[in-house]
Amino acid sequence: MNAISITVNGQQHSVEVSPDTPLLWVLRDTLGLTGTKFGCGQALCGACTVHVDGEATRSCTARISTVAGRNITTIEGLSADGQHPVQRAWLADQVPQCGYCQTGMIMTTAALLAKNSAPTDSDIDEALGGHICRCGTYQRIRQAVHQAAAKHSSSETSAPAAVAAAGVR
Amino acid sequence: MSTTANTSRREFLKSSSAGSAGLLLAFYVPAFAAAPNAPAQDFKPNAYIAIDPRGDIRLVVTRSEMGQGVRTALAMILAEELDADWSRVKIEQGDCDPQYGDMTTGDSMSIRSTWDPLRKAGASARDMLLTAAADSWGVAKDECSAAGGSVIEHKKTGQKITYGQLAIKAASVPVPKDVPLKDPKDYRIVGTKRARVDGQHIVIGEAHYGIDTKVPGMLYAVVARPPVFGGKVKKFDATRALAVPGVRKVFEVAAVEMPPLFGEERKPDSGHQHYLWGGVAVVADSTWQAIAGRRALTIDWDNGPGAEESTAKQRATLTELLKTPGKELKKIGDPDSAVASAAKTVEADYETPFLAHMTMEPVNCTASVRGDKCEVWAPTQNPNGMATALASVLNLPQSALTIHITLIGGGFGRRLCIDYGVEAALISRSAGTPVKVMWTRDDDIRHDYYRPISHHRLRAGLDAQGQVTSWLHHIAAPSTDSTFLGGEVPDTGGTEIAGTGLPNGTVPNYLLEQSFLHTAVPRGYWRAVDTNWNHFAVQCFIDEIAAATGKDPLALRRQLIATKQKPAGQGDNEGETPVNVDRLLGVLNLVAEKSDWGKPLPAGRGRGIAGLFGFGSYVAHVAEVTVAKDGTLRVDRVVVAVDCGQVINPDLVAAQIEGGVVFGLTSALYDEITIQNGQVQQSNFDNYQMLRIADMPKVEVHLVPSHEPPGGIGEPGVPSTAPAVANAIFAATGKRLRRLPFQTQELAKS
Repeated sequence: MNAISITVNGQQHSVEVSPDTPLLWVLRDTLGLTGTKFGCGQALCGACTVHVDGEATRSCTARISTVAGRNITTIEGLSADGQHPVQRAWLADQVPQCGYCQTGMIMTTAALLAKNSAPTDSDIDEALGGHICRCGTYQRIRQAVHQAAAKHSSSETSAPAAVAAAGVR
Repeated sequence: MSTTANTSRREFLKSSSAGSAGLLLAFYVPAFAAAPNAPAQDFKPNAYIAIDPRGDIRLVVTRSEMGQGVRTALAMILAEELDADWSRVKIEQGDCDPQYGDMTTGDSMSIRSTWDPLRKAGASARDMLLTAAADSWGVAKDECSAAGGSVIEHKKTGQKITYGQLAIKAASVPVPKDVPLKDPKDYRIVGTKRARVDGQHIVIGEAHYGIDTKVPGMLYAVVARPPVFGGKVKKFDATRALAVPGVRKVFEVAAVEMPPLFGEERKPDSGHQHYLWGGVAVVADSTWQAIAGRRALTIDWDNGPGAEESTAKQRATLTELLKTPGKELKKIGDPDSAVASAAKTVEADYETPFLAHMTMEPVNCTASVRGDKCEVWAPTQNPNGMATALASVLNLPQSALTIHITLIGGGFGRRLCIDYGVEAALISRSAGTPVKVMWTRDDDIRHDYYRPISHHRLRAGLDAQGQVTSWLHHIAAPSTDSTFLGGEVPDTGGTEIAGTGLPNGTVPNYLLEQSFLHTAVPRGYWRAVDTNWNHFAVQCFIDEIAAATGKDPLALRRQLIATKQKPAGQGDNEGETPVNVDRLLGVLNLVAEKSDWGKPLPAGRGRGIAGLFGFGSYVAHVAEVTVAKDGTLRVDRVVVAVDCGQVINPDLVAAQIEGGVVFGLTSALYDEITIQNGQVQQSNFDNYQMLRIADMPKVEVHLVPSHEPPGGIGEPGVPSTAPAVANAIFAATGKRLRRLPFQTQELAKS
């Protein structure tokens, strides 16, 4: 196995894995970035979504050899302080239930808003149509996307969303 | 279930002598499924709260978080009676520990079983802090009051002191008895919308689920399990697999016998089917290498008799079973004569399929078995059952086990089963290292414990005025409990007739009978369990009677409820818990009002209604649908009225109902596990569909204000969804769809 060089959240890594290894497992097993989730392994559910050069990409089917040298952003690198407008909107609307699919939803939404600052409902359906939430949080997701878009486009800096104090992982 | 008025449990609180650590209170929380005849026991605390000198308040949560918000809700109950500063309440996930008693999270019981003890613990702690404050100031205790925000004040002098400042002194105050609980009108936290305590970690990707476990020296494993239920490894060749880079070991995993899930007694010859799947494990340096190694395996399977099974045969057998009388479970009056002599009869058959859980976090478990110690990191709803099974299979005392309960990426009942924990432990023991056993999606869907297939025959006899005089319900299904316990359980009702519901007690002649399908397909507990399939048949059939007698479906329900003669058992999960007809009527009337029931809709659109008493709560749904000429079905709107007693956090209740509607819709619109040659034919989300965002209807949740004791909320949003939609389809088209998932091709206009 030859070393493959990848850039994740601005940091360069050299990983020794077979070139057919999906990016997902390199992130999770090799780099310990477990915010990107495994759901289906076939790009059917969206839980593993990351950004590759800004594009929302399913890491479970992206072979590591195809992303070498490209800029990869995971949920851990979406914002320095966890205060990306999408993350704030997700908390303000209390979107997550089990939360397992939500990092993928957030990554796709962030990529959508970077291109389309005022998505319509059908834009949202198209962007998030490849994602599954088994807990059924879609109604709140739609609401949060609109809210994040409003914040995103006005670039307003409002108070951070109320975050409960108790911290348990 | 309640902790009150039990002499042996009167002194349910104990204070620690924690000294400089501050105030530590231990208290008792009753079990998930209380054994009704359990002997009175001495006080054994199984829950803890602590207030430290910095003012932090810590609650050990002894239930599993899987998205229902239990960590948040339990903390809110405690904080309310304690008059705590909500921002200083921290929760800590308890490991599986005998001192905590039964830690099972299921049956929508978490709030119901902790409501009383948590409130009492909080109130007692507040009282001890009041005593300590009065003592410090040298004033009368009744002049002091908790001001909220973890502060006690003495209004006469304007003095204030914080809980943190009082924590050490309060620890030496004797635990008071019978401290009065708050009047609900004084609630400041309970009943208010509060953000989830773990939300921030989720949105930044730092919430740690079972799948995220990493321990030193850990390897990764996947297992090739028998494709046919009950199948075994005949022989295998690991040569190519071992040649895959990173693959360390390949070995067979035995199909060992496992004990029941919840500590039940089981006869040795019961005929249960609770065995580990068995198969061939591939252990590697990474998940992907293990998967690649498995692909390179050659395995010769002994499929066994299960290979004869198919969905077609199962459906044919169930159809046959309905033709001859089943086991009589409940009988009132003389139903057979009544239906034979009725002026008019209505009859219909309904059908529901096997279903998988499909939690977004696939099944996984990390285990480290070394020497005579076993440590497990498990996304489990049933740590006690897992401990029992690990002890039994590994032949270790429970004291040798450590089970860490992780955050769970969706439970829905799948994680009441303990197979994956036993499997991980056996693989770790054989590998001689800590191992994370990862299930791929097709592993997950093909080796589930499925919601059972069921067929129903409903018959009703009506008199000349159209009154229902007899109701006969015959259920044909495999038993869920028998997977774990054997036999044709339930022998006399019990857990698998929930949702047969309302007609029992509202009609003078009633019969409930059941026939059993024997199958190798393992059955398990799936969100709302038997209430789903029985309630689907019953709620659709009420509509059919309404149509046959020209009545409005809501009016017929009101009429049936009003004629409820006595508080007979509902056959729901609480056994013989009487239905409160006023509360059931209340949610039906509320949902009717909020959904514009009775207001005309354009052609091709319709509304349907269904109402449930289950899990201690009353929930009614109205679904609104549009059916296009080509049969395309769209669910536009679902309005839900909920009376779950005292609401802890209205936002969490709404979320559970919104999610319950999606769960119910997914099963109604898309899903069916089918069997061919004894194998599950579905493999992933492409052939086992989930509702997606574009098909999400508008869901509106309306809560009935109430101070009745809290009911469950994780499950009751599910069961009425499918029948409400079926009834709406009939209203829109005049066509009855009696089989789940809906065969919408039948709706196309020719």
